[in-house]
Amino acid sequence: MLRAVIARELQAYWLSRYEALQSLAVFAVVVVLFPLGLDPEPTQLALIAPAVLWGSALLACVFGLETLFRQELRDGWLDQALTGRWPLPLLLAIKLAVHWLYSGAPICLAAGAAGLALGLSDAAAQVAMLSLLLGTPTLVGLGSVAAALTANLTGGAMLSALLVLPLYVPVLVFGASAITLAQAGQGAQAPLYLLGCLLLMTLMLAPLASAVALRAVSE
Amino acid sequence: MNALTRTFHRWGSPPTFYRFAGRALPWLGWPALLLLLHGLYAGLVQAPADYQQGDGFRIIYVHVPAAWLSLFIYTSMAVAGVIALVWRMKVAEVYLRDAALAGAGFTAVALASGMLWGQPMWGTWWVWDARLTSELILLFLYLGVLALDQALPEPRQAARACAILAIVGVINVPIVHYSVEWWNTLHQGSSLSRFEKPAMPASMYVPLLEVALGTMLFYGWFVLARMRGSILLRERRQSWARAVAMEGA
Repeated sequence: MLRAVIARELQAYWLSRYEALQSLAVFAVVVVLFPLGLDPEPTQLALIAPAVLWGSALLACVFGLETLFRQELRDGWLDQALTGRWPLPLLLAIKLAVHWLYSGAPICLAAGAAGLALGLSDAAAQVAMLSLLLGTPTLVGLGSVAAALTANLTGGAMLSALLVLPLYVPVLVFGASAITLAQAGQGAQAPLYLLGCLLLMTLMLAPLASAVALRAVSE
Repeated sequence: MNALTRTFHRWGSPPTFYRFAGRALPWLGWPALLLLLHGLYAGLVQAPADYQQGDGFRIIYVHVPAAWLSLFIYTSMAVAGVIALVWRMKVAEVYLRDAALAGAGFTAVALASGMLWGQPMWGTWWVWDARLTSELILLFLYLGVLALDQALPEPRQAARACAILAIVGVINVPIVHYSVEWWNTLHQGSSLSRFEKPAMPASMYVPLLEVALGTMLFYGWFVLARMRGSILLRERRQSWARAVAMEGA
């Protein structure tokens, strides 16, 4: 039953919820580093806020990738999935959605408060949340390909960061420019639509690519 | 099986490829050397100085071929990646890793020569411009492939992993390019285009074409020579590889 698969994923994440929520903590800590390293003048902070919010979200996502397939390779989940009745890309899509629910969604919510603290206007803080809502699933999807490629390695976290951060550039550019436009009082639709495009592409391709990658490294 | 698929499969067989590559090497190496020597002499010494940039423009004879190849090699790696994943062809797997090394080198040359040119022309070593930044990101993509290849112990597994990364990367490269272009651009437009008559005189662009072709051939020579070594190392337990090694000894 597909419902059982979904329930299993949700339960697995619920059991390790404190570990899963570490992404949120990392996001918050990295955001705090910037005002501490700068003159905390609100107008100055608002200038760098888009880059800070997105850079922190990127890092938090990258750190979360390590947990994505670690347990699965150890306890034989993958072997079962490969021989089971559901196609692997579908199972991975469910897994990624649940992973996003625990790592990406809290960051989207926190970004509003973090944006206001960094001196963004109300409208810009809302756009920050919206851009992260559209962008973080893309980060998780692209990241899962890298996580799958390095799943067999001990200490693959550093390597998967190197593999995936260059691929995150478009999301960073569009996401940060949406916030910048909103802060300047202009319409942020264009970059948001582009983020939506990237999201749709990732939704289609990332589960397939991750499945191919997991097969390739587990043979 | 028609002639095309037969050729395709024969090429994929390591012993055939090894012999073919050995025969092709001089046909790539010598023309490359001649074209590069003549092209560089004509470009660096004979061509007139640019009316705006003076002798500084001569960086084009190193910078442009390296930049072209850096993009070409990454695309070719993705094509080889598809072949490696779909047909499991060993030669394509070997190509991936050896091409990545050359590609990283050409990307580094394009970046370094661009910086040397940027210092006198723009007054700074580095600007956060679209083309420069996407080339830098391309360098990181190459380094990622090389690092992944190093990290996975089993060569066939490493090759398949690199193939997937190259394919994901090649989908991403145009998106990265347009996203950063939209973000910021200062780089001058292309000097050469297939569809227009070049704006520079023949004494300037003919050497450029010579150097570009020469660099292409040099890359072909380099990658075939390396692939021969890699294939021999991989197939060292096979009788044909032993026979080749004994011959050489």
